This record gives sequence, structure tokens and C-alpha cells, in this order.
Amino acid sequence: MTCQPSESDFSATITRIAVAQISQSVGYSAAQTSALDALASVAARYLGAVARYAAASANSSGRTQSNIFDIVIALEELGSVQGFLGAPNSSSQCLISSSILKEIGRFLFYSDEVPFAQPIPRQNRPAESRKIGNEMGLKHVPGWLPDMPVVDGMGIEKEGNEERNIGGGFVGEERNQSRMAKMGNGRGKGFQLPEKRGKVRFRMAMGGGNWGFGMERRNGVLSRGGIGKRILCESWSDGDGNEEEGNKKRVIKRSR
Amino acid sequence: MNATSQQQGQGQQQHPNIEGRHDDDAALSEFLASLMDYTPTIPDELVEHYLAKSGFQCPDVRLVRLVAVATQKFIADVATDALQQCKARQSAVIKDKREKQQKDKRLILTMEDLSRALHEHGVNVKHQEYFADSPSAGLDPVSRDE
Repeated sequence: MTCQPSESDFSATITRIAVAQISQSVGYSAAQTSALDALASVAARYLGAVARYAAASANSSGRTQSNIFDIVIALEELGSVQGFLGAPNSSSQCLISSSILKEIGRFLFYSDEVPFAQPIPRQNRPAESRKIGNEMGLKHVPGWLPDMPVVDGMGIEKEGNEERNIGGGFVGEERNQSRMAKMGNGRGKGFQLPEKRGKVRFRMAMGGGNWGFGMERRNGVLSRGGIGKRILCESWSDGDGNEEEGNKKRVIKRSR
Repeated sequence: MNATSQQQGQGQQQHPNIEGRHDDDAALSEFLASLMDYTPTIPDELVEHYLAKSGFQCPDVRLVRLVAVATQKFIADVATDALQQCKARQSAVIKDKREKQQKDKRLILTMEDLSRALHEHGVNVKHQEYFADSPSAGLDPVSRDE
């Protein structure tokens, strides 16, 4: 099972390549790994800082979308540490006389273009892959929430090539999706008992003995021998142990 | 393009009427158009990723390019300062000319130069000076025996 690199690794690697290209265009021929990583991290934080300041200045003006004024304000805030030539942007002047933009214009004019080394695949999620309103029929879930995870088997969340076990259990066989849809008990997860299960014995404090076959309802307090755990169980079970759909509250393994 | 606020008389050589504002707006549009001609080293997808992560919302591609170019300028400034530090250190070491020319061809970005250059821009980067393999490494032989 190959572990896929996380999204942050991907963007961090691209940032590192871009920063390496920039430093090469400045005149460096080599770089220490740690120095390059530090500079890439600084570049990522700078980008994030510009975005945050621009978004904040847009929000304080009562807008949700940022415009060029917000960007100039953000750049001036970040440039105020070292200082920049000329006066900052004031509302009485036109933006073109802002010194920040002039410096950027000068940079554009004097520096050569260094395009990025490799093409980056664009990740476009197709609209039809998103389940709107939940296919499981959970109409009470708002549409803007992400999709419920698709659980298959004994609490296993299917996610691409990875299969993780949730809350223990073992890998079961693949189940029919429609059967899971019917089970919807509001939690979005369907528990299904696989056909072959291990034998588990329970010791009951009251009544004693194991559960028999047939339709019966047990309601009470069980205590497993030696452990002292108490489990409240309510379940319907038929002969071969398959739980009736929609009625079960908890998974109870029966013996024999 | 957003309309600029009303222009005051002071600070403007042009007379403050609507035509002057249009000229400035046109100059700004021209500047933004020149941005689109330039391909920044930082790819647009990466910039969009970081902008979206921080809450920046703008459908205009030119503004994305502007942020990319601004970041590139910042990194280039830092790298240039570090380069100057590196060259200054090389020229301070007085050796014969042949060795210096050989060194000039291999300019390496080191942590030391970078931390000094970033310090001027307000970023404090600390790095380990060296790593010792044992607690008594580098001590005097007298104290080590004790």
C-alpha cells in the first residue's frame, strides 16, 4: 500500500522549486538544503500573510472579495518593516502613484522572465462527483457540508486505495451499496455483519447461559466474566445471526 | 477596476477633473496588462492555493499575478541581500587571485547569509551553529579528565 504524499508536501515542494529558480536567477549556483527549505517556508508564509491582510482589509471595508486596493494595503503593511521608497497609498491619490506598484513595475521591467520549470496538473474536481444532499437520504444535512464518508463492511471507510479500519474490526467483503443506503440510521454509517464471524462467548450475570436461537429479545445488564464490564444491550436477532435491518441498536456478537 | 475616490488638488500635477482620473485609471489598467505579459516564477496554481487557504477571494487573474510578482520580488530581494553578504565575505578573505576566481563560480546559499538577509526584512531565523557528538567535545583536556 503506497502512502500518498499529503497536500501540504505537494505545495511545499513546488514552493521549494520556485524559490530555487528565483535564487538561481539572482546569481546563486547552489544552495544548502536547510537554507532553501527555510526560504521556501518564508515564501509560503509571505504569500499567506499578503492574502490574510488583503482579506482583512476587504472585510473591514464591508466586502468579501478583495480588490487591488486591498492588495496594495497588504503589501505596504508587509513592506513597512524594511521600508519602501516613496509615500504609502492614501485615498486622495490615484493608485498608480503608489510607490509599491512603482517598485513592482520597476522589478518587472528590469528582471528577466523565469517561468516555472515544470507544468503543474490542475486539480479540477468534477461537479458530478460531489453528492449534494447525501445519497443516503439524509435530507436534514445541509448541502454545503462535505459528503458523508462511504463506509463499507465493518466500519471501514473507503477512500481511494486506502482502507482504514474505524473502531476496530476486520476487513469484510464488499457489500451492496443499496443495502447500506437502506440502513440509514441517521449516523451515516452502516454496520453490516459479514457472513463469517468468529465465535464469541458471553457470560451473563442474570439468567446465565448463552443466548439461544430464535427470535428473542434480551434486555438487561450483561457482565462479561472477569472483566467487570457492563453492557446494556437491546437487540433483535434471528437464527443465523443476521440483524434485522433498521431495528438494531448495537452490534452484539452471539455465540455458536 | 474600481473607481478611485475623488481626487484632491494637492499632489497632482494634472488638473483634478474626470479626464485626469481616466488617465490614471488607464495607466493602472496598462500596468495590470503588463503584469499578464510577465510570467512569474511562482506558478499561478500555487499562488491560488495559498490565497484560498488564507481567505483571499478574487476572481481576477491579474490580482493573482500581482501577488505572485510581489512575492517573487520579495524573495529576489532577500536572495540578493544574501548574495551580497556572500560576496562580501569572499572578498574579505585575502587570497591569491586564482583561488578567488574559482570560488566566485560556486556561490552557495548558506544559512548564515540567509539569516542575516532575512533579519533585515524582519524575519528572525535561528539555526544550529554546530552539532557535537558528545557533551565533552571541544572542552579542554584538563576539564574533561575531571
